[in-house]
Amino acid sequence: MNGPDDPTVNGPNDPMTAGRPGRRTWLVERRSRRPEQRTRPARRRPRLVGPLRVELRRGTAATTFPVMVGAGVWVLAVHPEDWGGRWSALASYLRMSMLVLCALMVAAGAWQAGRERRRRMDELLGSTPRPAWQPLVVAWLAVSLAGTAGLLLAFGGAAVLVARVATFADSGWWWTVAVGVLGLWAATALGVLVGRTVPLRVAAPVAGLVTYVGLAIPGYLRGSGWNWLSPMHDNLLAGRRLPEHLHLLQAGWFVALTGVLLALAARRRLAALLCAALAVAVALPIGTGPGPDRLRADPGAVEPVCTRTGPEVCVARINGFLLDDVAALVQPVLHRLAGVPGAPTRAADDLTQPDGATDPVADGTIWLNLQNQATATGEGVANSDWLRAAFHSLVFPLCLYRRGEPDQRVDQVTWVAGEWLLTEWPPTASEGRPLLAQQRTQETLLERLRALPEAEQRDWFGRFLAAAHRCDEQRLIGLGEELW
Amino acid sequence: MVSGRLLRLHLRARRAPTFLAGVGVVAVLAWIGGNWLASRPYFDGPAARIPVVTLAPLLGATLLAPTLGGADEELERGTPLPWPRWRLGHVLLGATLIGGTLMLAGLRTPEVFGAYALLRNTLGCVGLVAGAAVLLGARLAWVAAFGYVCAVYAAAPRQIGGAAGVWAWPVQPSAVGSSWVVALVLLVVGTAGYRRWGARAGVRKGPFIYKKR
Amino acid sequence: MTVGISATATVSVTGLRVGYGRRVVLDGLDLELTPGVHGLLGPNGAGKTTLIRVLATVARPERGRVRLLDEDITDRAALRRIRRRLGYLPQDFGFYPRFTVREFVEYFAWLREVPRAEVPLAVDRALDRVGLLDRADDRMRHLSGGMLRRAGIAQAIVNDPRLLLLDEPTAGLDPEQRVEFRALLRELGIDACVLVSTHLVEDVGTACARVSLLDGGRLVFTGTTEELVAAGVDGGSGDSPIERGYTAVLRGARAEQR
Repeated sequence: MNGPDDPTVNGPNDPMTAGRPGRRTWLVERRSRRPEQRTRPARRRPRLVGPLRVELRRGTAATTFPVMVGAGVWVLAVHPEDWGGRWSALASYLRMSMLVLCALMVAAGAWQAGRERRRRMDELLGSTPRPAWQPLVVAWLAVSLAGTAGLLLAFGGAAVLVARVATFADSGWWWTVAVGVLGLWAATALGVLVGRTVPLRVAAPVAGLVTYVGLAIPGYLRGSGWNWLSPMHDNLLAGRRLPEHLHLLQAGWFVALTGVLLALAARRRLAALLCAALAVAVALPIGTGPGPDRLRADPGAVEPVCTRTGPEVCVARINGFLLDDVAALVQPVLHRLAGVPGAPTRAADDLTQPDGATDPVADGTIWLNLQNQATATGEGVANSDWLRAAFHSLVFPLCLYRRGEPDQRVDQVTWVAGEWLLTEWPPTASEGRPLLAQQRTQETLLERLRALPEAEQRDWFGRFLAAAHRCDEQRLIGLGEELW
Repeated sequence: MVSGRLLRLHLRARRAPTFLAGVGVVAVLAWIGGNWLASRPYFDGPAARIPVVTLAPLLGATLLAPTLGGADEELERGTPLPWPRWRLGHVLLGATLIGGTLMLAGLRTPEVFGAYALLRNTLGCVGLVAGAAVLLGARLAWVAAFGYVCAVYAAAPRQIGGAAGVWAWPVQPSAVGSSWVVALVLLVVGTAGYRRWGARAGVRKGPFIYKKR
Repeated sequence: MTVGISATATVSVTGLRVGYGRRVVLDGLDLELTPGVHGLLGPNGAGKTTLIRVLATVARPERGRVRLLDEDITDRAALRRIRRRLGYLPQDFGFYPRFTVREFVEYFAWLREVPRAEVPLAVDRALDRVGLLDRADDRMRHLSGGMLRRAGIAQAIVNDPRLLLLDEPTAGLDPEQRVEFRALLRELGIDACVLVSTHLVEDVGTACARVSLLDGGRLVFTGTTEELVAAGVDGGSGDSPIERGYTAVLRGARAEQR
């Protein structure tokens, strides 16, 4: 014990005492240069629990957050028309984007849980007293929290845009979001299980891709009640809502599923069995229930809001922010239709249509689909071409085309009627292109029609509409020849 | 020249058996999935195979990623083998194996999101993976292709050709020329980079004591 | 060599047998360790690491009785109590490169169930003892090999273990660091039982009060350092007295076996 380099042994040392003479240290000179390090008391730390804080800062969570923000912003940016201006549409878009986001969370969870193997920590961890499920849960929680924060940041940005213009405060939209977040947490737990059990290096990306595919499958199996077990839904549309007990059941399902997955990852068989029993108990009433029929119109959301001046244009309250923009496009068309026998006199959002009705034109109303018309900022109409197409279909003699390919002159005269109806419609991108021979004929016919006195134009259009409804091919061709 | 036994050892060191088995599984799943999708009555036949055409090559390239680096890059580079040639061969062989196997899964109407698109996407994804291996190392080489293809697939652009032909090459019909150009450029750039520099060596201080000496 | 079981021993092992598959690594091993620094010597493959892994409660014995800190390791509740008072540094220890040194040690303080209120002090104290306090906020991946090893030692002593198991702790340390490390060992050995496995016989000579020598899975010598030196007085090869003792004991044990 008395070697030549025997130090002055001080017994259990007090590290807070400044450099004692004779005490051996590894870096004596550097330490004496930085005395503040020695006297620093136990630093005052944020009250966040130690290991969770470390995992959030240094684990996969630190990468998960920016990735989820980026992915969230990206999915929001590619289809703003699906969520703009409406709270429930934003919430259901969040569930739609679960396809991507859950896949990412599975990959993140697997990456985090594979760390002990990658870093060869199993040996050291095996000698520690803390039950193995605790570090596992902390790791899962860190990734889940970071992912959720990223998701909420991205969708929070979208919520600011929605809040500026939204015309209807839906009641249950936050249920959709909350259950989606629980689904995200279950996805992370799945990743943790995969990372713990699959020793492959590519376990994380492969698990992510398999989740991606797996979540897409219910979209292909139309109308099964079991689809409601997926965190991803592609049929939650604005203005409709799910009964609250289904949200509750889904929440219970995801919590139980998370329990099963984490218990399996921590190899707690009893806990896994209990959670599995709970999961099955919750899943049965969801799966055996009706499929898409679960959706009910939200009476407040679909209540019509109408223009006060000019021909009537109505939109559902949830689409109220679109009313001015839609009316500006549609009212000139309705003006042209005014007085034409059998023509619709008003236009309305098909959300305000009674359930089950699908006719594009009924009861003197032309029904417009406004689900994909919002822009991110809520200003203007995203796809005015689609509205234009709705009016084109008004003049389209569909019954003739159902019988077979009609005479080419029918195409021409139909086009002329449609263009006459949409004279005031703002020009679209396709205009100004060089014309084909057939198109030149059409243009000439249209110019002739517009050259007629106002009353004769209306009369011609009225006769066209009547012939189109009767599917009278000869009469339609005659109307074209009239203009030559 | 390298003997067959050494080649076998090298392939084992790079976990080639896992890769081959994985590609086989992916191809079988792609074939089953593609046929199932194509036979759904509510879709437009073979064109419904777009998820298969996008994801199967991505999976194949992901499986290739870990084979791009050895257990210790620096140790391998200290050996006198002509590594650039080996690396070039490695990527091209991998791309051929994935592409060839996956094409078998899309032989029915190959022009409508079938074999041709599978081949194009394989080339593009392998290029992305090889390029990412240079920048991020073999362990993380899957990240770029995974992120990019998932993002494009999620965006589901409705446009065909034009700008979408360039940025959304993995989901374009195989008749769009620009999508092939992009995929081939990715393959050439990725492979050339990998041939020149190889996979980035990871953190050298692994559980270190033995490596350190 | 039979060792009686006493109540004060920190480690007491009787009839220990461990094997991997059909290969038996340790057979019929008896060992008793009291507080103080113990050296564990032996040629490669003698079973040193396996013995330490058993004592670290990582490897499971096939047969035999292992009592640590007066409790039996087969009792689950006792096992958790034992692990709270156990420090372990494996030969090939992993780490998280993104963690800072402080976070790494803090994380292990949590895993070793140091009461939460004591964690900051315990971490600072452990880092101070291995001389890493001024590198505490550096990432693990920026540390040199020797510093990593010291970080590894810091995590092993953060819970003030009564039983500290160090497998090849001096590998990767430069001569000066080794000198300092031995000083730390002696300090730790005052109130804990420290078992150090090593190939470097001079580490044992200067830092350890007692030495055990393993060969072919059997304990062939246990006693004080002086006793090992004495065994080499007439015979054995080597450059230092303790090396001569080491080779002489090994030779004797192998001759006896034949």
